[in-house]
Formats: sequence, structure tokens, C-alpha cells
Amino acid sequence: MTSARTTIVAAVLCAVAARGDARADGHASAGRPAALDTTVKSLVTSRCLACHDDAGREAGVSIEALGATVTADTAAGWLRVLEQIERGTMPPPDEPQPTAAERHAATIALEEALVTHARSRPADREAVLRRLNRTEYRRTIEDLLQLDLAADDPTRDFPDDTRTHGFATNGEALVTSGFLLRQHLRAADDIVGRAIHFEPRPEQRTHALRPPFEKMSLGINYGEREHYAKKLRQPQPYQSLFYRGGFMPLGALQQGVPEAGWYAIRIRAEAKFRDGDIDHKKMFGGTSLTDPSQPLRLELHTGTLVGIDPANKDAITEALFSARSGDRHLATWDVPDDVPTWLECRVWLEAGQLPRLTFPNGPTGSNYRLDTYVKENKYTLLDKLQLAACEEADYGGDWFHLIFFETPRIRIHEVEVTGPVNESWPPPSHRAIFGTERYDPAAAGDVLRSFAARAWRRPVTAAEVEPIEQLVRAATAAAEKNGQPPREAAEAAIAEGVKAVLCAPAFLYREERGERLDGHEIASRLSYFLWSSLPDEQLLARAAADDLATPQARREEAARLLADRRSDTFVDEFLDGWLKMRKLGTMAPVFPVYFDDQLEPAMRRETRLFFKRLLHVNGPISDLLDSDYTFVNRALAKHYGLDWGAARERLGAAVAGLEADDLQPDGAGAAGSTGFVQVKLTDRRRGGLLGQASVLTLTANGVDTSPVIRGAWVLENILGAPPSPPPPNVPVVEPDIRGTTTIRDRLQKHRDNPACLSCHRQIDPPGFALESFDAIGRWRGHYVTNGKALAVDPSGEFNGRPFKYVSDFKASLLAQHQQFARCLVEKLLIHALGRELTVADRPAIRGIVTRAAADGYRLGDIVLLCCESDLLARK
Amino acid sequence: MNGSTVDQSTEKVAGNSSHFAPSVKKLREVSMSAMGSRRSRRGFLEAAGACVALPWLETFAMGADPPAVRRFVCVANPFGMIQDAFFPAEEGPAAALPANLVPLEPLRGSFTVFSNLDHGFGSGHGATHTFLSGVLSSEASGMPEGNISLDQFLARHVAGQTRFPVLNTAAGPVGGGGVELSWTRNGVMVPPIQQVSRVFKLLFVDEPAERTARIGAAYDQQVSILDAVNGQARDMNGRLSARDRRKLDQYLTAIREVEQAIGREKAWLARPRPQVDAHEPKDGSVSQQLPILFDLVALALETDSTRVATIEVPGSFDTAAMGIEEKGYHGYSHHGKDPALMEGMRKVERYQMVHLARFLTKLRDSGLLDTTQVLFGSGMGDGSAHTNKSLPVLVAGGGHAHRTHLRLPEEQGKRVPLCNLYLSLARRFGIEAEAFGKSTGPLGDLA
Repeated sequence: MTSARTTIVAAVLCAVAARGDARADGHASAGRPAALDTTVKSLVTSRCLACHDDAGREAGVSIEALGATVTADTAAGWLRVLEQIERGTMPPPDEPQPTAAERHAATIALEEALVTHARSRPADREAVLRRLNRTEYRRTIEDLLQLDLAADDPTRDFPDDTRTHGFATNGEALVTSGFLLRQHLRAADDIVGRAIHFEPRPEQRTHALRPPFEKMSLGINYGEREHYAKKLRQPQPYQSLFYRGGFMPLGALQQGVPEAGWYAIRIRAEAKFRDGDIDHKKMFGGTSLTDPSQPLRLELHTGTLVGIDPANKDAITEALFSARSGDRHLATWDVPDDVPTWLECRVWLEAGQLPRLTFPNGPTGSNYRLDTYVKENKYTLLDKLQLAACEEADYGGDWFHLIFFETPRIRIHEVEVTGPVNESWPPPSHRAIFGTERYDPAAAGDVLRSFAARAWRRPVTAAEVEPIEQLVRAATAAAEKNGQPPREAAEAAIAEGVKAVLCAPAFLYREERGERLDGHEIASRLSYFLWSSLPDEQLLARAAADDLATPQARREEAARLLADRRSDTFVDEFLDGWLKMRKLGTMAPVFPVYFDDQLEPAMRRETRLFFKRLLHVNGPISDLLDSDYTFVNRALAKHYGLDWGAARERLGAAVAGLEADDLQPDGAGAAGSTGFVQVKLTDRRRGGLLGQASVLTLTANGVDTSPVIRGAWVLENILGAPPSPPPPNVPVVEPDIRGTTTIRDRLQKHRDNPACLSCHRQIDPPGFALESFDAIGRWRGHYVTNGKALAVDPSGEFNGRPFKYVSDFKASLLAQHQQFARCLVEKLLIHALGRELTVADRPAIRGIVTRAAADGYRLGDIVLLCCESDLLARK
Repeated sequence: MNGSTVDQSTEKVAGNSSHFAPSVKKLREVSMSAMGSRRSRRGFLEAAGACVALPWLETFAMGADPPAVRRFVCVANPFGMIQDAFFPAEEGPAAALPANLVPLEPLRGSFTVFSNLDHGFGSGHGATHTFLSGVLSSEASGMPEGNISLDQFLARHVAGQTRFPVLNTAAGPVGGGGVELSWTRNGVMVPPIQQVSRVFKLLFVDEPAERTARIGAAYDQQVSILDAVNGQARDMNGRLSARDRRKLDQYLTAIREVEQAIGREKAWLARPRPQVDAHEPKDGSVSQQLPILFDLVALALETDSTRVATIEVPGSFDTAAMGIEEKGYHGYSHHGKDPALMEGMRKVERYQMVHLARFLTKLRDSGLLDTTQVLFGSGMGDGSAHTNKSLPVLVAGGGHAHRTHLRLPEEQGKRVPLCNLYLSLARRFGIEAEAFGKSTGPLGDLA
């Protein structure tokens, strides 16, 4: 490499570094130094300098070097000092401690100095123009246009939003690329196609379907069809679902429904042979793949042939009979035994989607189990006539003989599909744009202005909409020139205008013009915080009246928004960001029970129910650290070793703070057996978030557990004190699953080496306490590998308090109650404000925590206090 | 700095084709002057469509030697390779090949395995997405080109010359445990196409004529919408703070990028796709799709449908198809030194190498190997120990002077960044780049 080139490269690298610094710094000004109070100085001198002076530099930290004022150079160092004092992690537990009063006084004084200094610098912390993230985009469209996008999500191909501290609301991090903008164009096209309907009301049709509902499948269903058609020569009275996996499409609707809309689907079905002659142990080696104590369940899903080449028979078969990404679960029913009963639902189907049925808890046909079963039991379980029929028939393969056995199955007798059901026309989505009058092309401007005002969440001037009006005029003219009749040309053109409204920066971004937000901007802050969607009429009305500037008004509206069903999105988004719930399932566990018992959706729902209830009954946040209750369904009860027999009595009982459909995830159907129940925990191993399988699974890697990963998660998300990253040359701990040592033994170096100990003193103990739970949250007393069993040692010491098990570890967490409250407030504010929190925010955060303390730190109160806070009304 | 530059694909042109330069310069002048008014922007796009077509015609008209076409393919998995089965014990052209490299024996002299290259990251799954970029997505905002991956970097250079600037594919679902291979300059992870039937359709199945007409009309409509919102964005820009303006700049840049992409695609819309002697393949499991994907990429290169392609071997690999118990690819990668699990992992790795060898042989037989650089590797070093050090890296083809096994310095302080190799590959591709990712210079020893 020539020296010239070296220089260029060096220059590039320097420029890169400088640019990085400039970005981090934001502004060049250093601000005014802030002197430190005597309370701080005396605490530091008496408690810190013994180890942390220039000579000692314990753990590489010298507080002496920071001097006695907060300046641009020393601010970061003093902030770290403040955090350690505030959290009580310094002085270390084995050293003499300051009194609580001394600690508190020093904390307040040091914080004041840091805040004074921070405020003297030009504000570097403004929330940056924020793009709507994926969830917000979808929810905004749904509420703006009264559309249900769940059946076919137009944002499915959007790239994932960048997350900061787990949340997808950070303005700086949310990037718009050409790739995403193209997706927005396509999505707008799709959405407007679904929303606008100038055509006349589509005819409502009823398809009355008789068995066989599909005539394409091979295997057992083919045998059943042939048996009636060729052998018995009678109309087939029902078509059966014999095993789990695979779908029965309603063949008459194979091409899907012609129009999108609501469809009433009625299915007359019965469950047979629930107690059937299967030796479960023999067939499934003792697992619970079928369980005679459970009702047989029928599920309705969507399917589609859109995008499949009509000439490709294999692709068609696959699309109709197999699971495919993008297909939706619509409803689940517990099917009554032996009596054909009508099961009903009302579901939204997109054009081109067809309904199909499946039997999720039927016997499994995998690994040729059913074939083997038939072969082995033919001569013992079938009578002479049946055997004769088997021998005669030439349907290919033995397994079709299953129709003669009495294995658990669902018989479908009739199906009726009626729709699209439109109570009014044009549909609500069309009226959301055009109102109730017929569209008058001359009034294009008015339509666009009023639609834009709602879509852009603020009053809109004619000038702003002018370019879009021009677009509509040009499109109309062009279409007319091409020979389209004027009416159609105008209708197509206005659709283009609506798309433009949905691609405009005023739609995609939340603008906040000044340091103090105006009414509409505050309204958006509240609605996007609690609904991830646009403000409703009432909120907008209060905004227009400039009524939201007072904390009281914000609190009132926030309470109203929380009480609305739309706040369910807040529960989901906040848990995703705070607990990292999205990670659940990303490292696929290797334990079959996880999939057989469908534990993942169950554990997710448990945490969701737990949090949502706590929010709506305004319960104490200490429940999140340890509780004497949780929510389980049958599978989860078994997973936790709880007695389901007693709990199931309460299936269907109302729970304050939750809706019926929260507790029973059966979609549009009715399946009580899928329900969740609030259970009382008598032993305190479970209880709180740390006993919940969702948290335990997402903090492991699907195969084994790591105390360091789990410990770091607890520090970051429960105590708000993320540990520093490991030093660069730490060798990796090689997992050794041959079973000779435990992970605790292999982490011995953390305890032996003082340099490691300084951080791992905090990180490892929570992880050790949780070692009592395996990678999917099951309790374990021993590590068992290769026939060897080593005892789990979950003991440790945390913040000076020794503990023996996870239950007493949680007690020491409860002692850090205030720190947890603060962490929760910070997470809520990060989510709501869409920016990093800085030193200057500390007084406001402290204010919220203090006020929440007065009432025992209740979850609902904390959320409302965040909304009341001045932080929500400023950039 | 993001935002205010003209798309760089118009700035650099492949190697030694000076007769391209005038038309490219013209493009820049047109684009610069057209930056304000809406009508001339429309004109610019029409001109762009014409200009993109011009080099193609010029090639045939001139009858001169076309510039050497360069290609690049990257094949990657998420869990690394067992060290003793991948890295030869000795260095040099005659080095004996370890178990999993044996399928490549017939190609000796056309590939090089590199030891001790990595991006300097510590451990875990958190850094495997940096394989082709060298930059964590969390550090991207501090880098001039973000965390752009090598495939996207190269694709920008040849955008418009082929129907697809880049083809990103995966042999199966990338949901749980994907490679996260391909990243744009804006830090967006590009999702790969996960079904071979879709790849085939994209490459070789023409849309029916009326659908093409509708797509063309849709493009025009999209451009009109972008025109309309562009005006609003400019007005908004006027009243924003400096930081907010930088944000909106992304939006404005995005508009320009989309318009340019649409312009290029419109030019290709009317052209028929190449006819190939193959049927649309069936989708299937990862082990079924992987060989098909290699074949499709080879065909794509042969028909010049693209010059840059990536193939991910995802974590959803159906290990049972290797004749071992189904424990999942991720499960086997966490072998923890258990011999049975290691054996399973070796089988999965071997499968990948067998088909890689087949792919390279195919390229050699169709005469493309010398102009195609093929990179195989992973962002994970040892999947069981979860390290990101000394990544498995193999480069084949490209006309390089291959050495079978090249061992780079191991000691801390002397290690060579993997991005240096990428810089060399980029230069070989024809890009006069000063740096790529965190490179400190090109890799001296190769080529």
C-alpha cells in the first residue's frame, strides 16, 4: 500500500471517527460547570476515596480525578457515581455504609448538579421526527378506515423496525429507506383497494355444502370417499377428520370467496370415539398427544390459491392441504360428542381466501403411527364383515382401513357459508373517506382535505393538499383521454389521491414542531402511547380546544384511553419492548413437549393476562416481582406441575380486569377447553415474572441455560441497571453437555478473579437463582445428562443478602422495590417519548416515582402519572 | 453523510469501459439540474429510462470487447463450521483437505480457505448478522455506509445492467435462527426469497402481457404519488429543526431511490425473460431446496439475470433428512462436544459442502467460474462455543491465484480484518473503493 493511500485511508477513518463523535455530541458547547454540594463531597470523601482515589483506582475507577465540579468532561463519570449511590451497589456490602439519610441527601444533591449542568447545554435530547412503526401503521390504518387487516396483513413484508432498549419507537433509530417506501406504496395500493367500493353492493350468497367437501385428497379420506361411492353406493353422510396436521379445504370454495367481507360460517359436526380404542401409551410412548379427557377440537383456518400457478397440481395440493405462512386461525370449537351440532362463527375473509378445517388435537399420523396401528390391530379389533370389506377393497394402502376402527375423529356433516354480509353499503371503510353522500368529483378537494385532516391527525390547509388535488385532476384527465368514461376515471383518480395521503410524510411521520407541543401533538403522543394508533374524535376535540396542556386533562384522557379495548395494543407492545417477548421462539427449543403441547402461545398469553389484569385493576407492581397467583391453561398447568383438576372448575369464570376473549383464545368460535384460569400458587417457586415460562424461555437459547444471560436480563429489565459488556479478550465459556461439571463450576473464574467479580457479583446471582428452571421454564432439581445427575445449586448473595432458592431471591428483589419502580417508569417513558432518556429527565422521573410510592406503586397509577408528566408535553 | 448525494450507482462504472462515461455523466447533469421542478423530474426519469437502455445497445453497436463482467455469490449458514472438519491442518496449495472439504478436491486450485479472519467481535448470536458487513446493526449509524453488506455494496454498482441488481435467497424459512445476511445502507435487513418456486418465477416466467401493462401503469401511478408527496416533504422541511431535517432527508432520499429503481425496472419490464430448459421446481424442506437453489443461481448467472446473489442455509434445516435424529440445526450446533451431536453437525455441514462443490463445478463447466467470486462462510466461528473469532471463510473462482489454505496471523494485534478480504473482492468486482466496512486496506496476498 503506497503512503498516499495510507494517508487517504487514515483520513477516511479519522473522518468516520470524528463524524461518530459529532453525532454523539450533537453540539459543540460544553455547558456551564456545576459545583458539588458539601453533602456529596463529604460522602465521597468518607465512603469512596479510600478505594477510588488516583492511587488506588479500584476496578480502574478514580473519583478523585473527577474533581469537585460537574463539567463536560466529568459529567459521565459523575453520572456513574450517582447511579451506584442511588442503587445502593456502592460502597460494596462488606464495607461500612452511609446512613439512608446521608445516601438520599447525596443522591438528590448530585442529581441536582448534573441536571443543572445538563440544562446549561443546548438541548440535545429532543425527540426526533418519528416515523410510524409497523404496528402503529397497521393500527392507524385500521382505526382510520374501519378495516380489519388481520386476515391478510399488508405490512407482512415490511422490514423489521430497529429497536432501542427493546422498543420500536425511537425516532432516531426508525429509518425510512427506499425499500420501505416501496412497501408503503404497495401497502397503500392494497389498503385502498380494500377500503374503497364504488361498485354496487355485492350479492350475498349462501353456499350449502354437502360431503364430501373435498375430493382431492389421497390416503384415509380417499378411502372414506371410495367406501361410500363404490362399496356402499350411497351418498356420503359425512366426511371425517381422522388425525392432526393437514387441512380439509372446502373444495367448492377452492378459488376463495370472490369478495372480501364478513362471512357467516356454520358447520354441523360431531366428535366420535373420544374414548376410542387406541392404546395411548402404546401408540405414543406415554406422551399426551391425544387425551381422552379433553374434548375433540375443530379449528377453522384460511387458505388461499392466490399466487399459485393453476397448472401446477402439486403446488395446488400443497396450498390447499398444508400449513402455509400467512394463513390465519379464525376459530376453535370444542366439538360435542356423538350429536351432530351446528357450530357457528362470523369471520372476515379477504377476496381469494377459502375456509379450511383442521383437527389440532387428534391422533398423530407421523412416523407411520396410524399405519402401524392398523396393521397391528386389524385382526383383533375388526369384525368379520369389516375385515372382509378391507380385503376386498382396493383403495391402495392399508391405512385407509382406519375408517373401520373407532379412533377419535370428527365427522363433518354439513357446512354453510353465507356472505359477504354487508349490513350497510358502501361499507364503513368507504364511508370513512367519502361520508354518506355519493362521491361528487367536483368535490375532490373537500374529500381529500377532510380525509387528510383525520389521517394526518391535525388541521390541514388547502395549500398542503393542493399537490394531491393536482394529482387527482391529472389522473382523471389522463384516464379520460384513454377512453375511460368520466365517472370511472374520476373514481379511479380519487383512489390515487387517497393513496397519496397515506404515503405523505405527514401521515408516515409524527411531527412535533416546537419545544412545547401543541394540542394535536399531545393528543398523538397519548394515543400512540396507549393505543399505537391515531387519536379518536373526543381526543381530537379536546386537542382543538387546546385542552390537553394541563396534567389533569392528560390524566383524564389517558384513563379513558386505557379503559378502551384499543389499549390491548399497549399491553402487547410494552411487553414486547420491556420483557423482549418478541424473542420468545426465536431460538427454537429442542424439547418436543414445547410444540406438542403448544406451550409457546400459552406462555405468552400467561404473561399477557398477568400484566393486563394488573394494569386494569391497578394492582401493585410488587406482583411482578413475586405473586401468589398466575394464569394457566391445561398445558401450562401440567408444565408447572399444578393441579388442573381443581383449577378447571373455574373455566369461564369472569376475572376482573380481563375480557372473556382474553381468557379463551378460540377466535370466533367457542372452545371452553382452551381457556385460562387464574390459579393460586401455594409454593412460592413460581409467582411473579421470574416464575413465568415465557421469561425463562426467552432468556435461554432453546437448548441450555446461561446464568449470565438470565442475570443480565434481570439487571437490565427489572432493576434498570444493565451491566457493562465483558472486557474484549474474555474467552468464551465452552458449553460442555457431557455432564461432568455444572455451569456454576465453570463460572468459577467469575468468583476467583477480582476483576471479573466486580460486575459478576451482580450479574451471576440472579442467574443462579433461576438455574432451578430449565431452558423452557420447567423446574429442575438436578442437571441430568448422559445418565449423570448433578444437583442444581441456586444459592448466592445479592446486594449483601444471601439466598438459598429462587423464592428467597425474589424476597431480596422486593427489597429493591423502588429501583424496580424507577426501571418501569423509565421503560414506559422510553416507549412513550421515542427518544433516549437523559440526565435532564431525572427530576421528572423522580417526581413520578415519589408520587407512585405514596400509594404503594400501582401499575395503573404509574402509567397515568407518566401521561400527566410534563415530559409528555415537551419535545 | 446520508441524504444529500446523488445515487452513487451513477458515479462509478465497471472497469475499463470509457465509452460509458459520457452517457453516465449526462445522467448526472440531467439529475442535478432537475432537482427542483416537478415536470423536469418527470423528464429526468424518462431520460433515465432511455439512458439505462443505451449502454446495452452500445455494446452491440460497438462490437468491441465488452467489459469483463464480474459476478459474486455468497453462501452462508448461521452456526459456523466444526473447525477440524473445515480448516486444513497445513497451509499452501498442496494442503490435505479435511473431511468436509473433500468434496472440493476436484476443484483444487480454484479455491482458498482462510484461517484467522474475523470482524473482531466477541461471542454469541448477537454478531452473526455482521458476516457480510463487518458492522453491527447497532453501530451502523456511526459508519459512513451504515452496515451495508458486500452483496448490496456490489449490487449498487451494477444496478440496471441486469434485471435484478441482486438476488437474495434462502433455502427455507428464516424465522427462528436466520443468517440475517443482507443489509442496505440504511440498516434495513433485506428479507431473502425463501421458496425456490418464487425464485424460478422471478427469473424465468414472464408475466402475461396485460399484467405487464398493469404493472407499467402501476409504476406510473406510484411515480405520480411520489411527485405529489415530494412537494409536501419539501415544504415540511422548511419548518423543521436541524435534527428533524436530517430525519426527513431520509424520506427524500428514499423517494429518489424508489424513483430510480422504478425507472430501471420499467426499462426491463418490456423485455422478455430468458428461456431456460427447466420446469418450475417444487418447494420443499431446506435439504430439498438447497441443491435446487444452487442450480437456479447458476442459471441466473448464465442468463445474466443478475450478477450478485446470496444463498442462506437457514436454521430451519431439516436435520432428519441427513439420516440422523431430528434435533434441529440449532440443536446440533450446540453439541457441547457430545460426540453423537458433533457427528450430526458434521453431516449437515458436509451436505452444504457437497452442493457447494457441485455448484462450483457447474460454474466451471459453463465457463463462469473465472469471472464469479464465490464466498462461503458464516458469521459464527464455533457454534458450540458461540465464538465469532476465526470465522470459516472460503473463496472460490473469480480468477484469483488460489492457494487452497492461507493462514493469516493469529496473534492479537497482528490479526487481519475480514473486511480487508471483502475490499479485495470488491476491487476485483470492479469497484474503486477505498474501504469497505472496517477494512484497513486490501488483503495483500490474494490476486
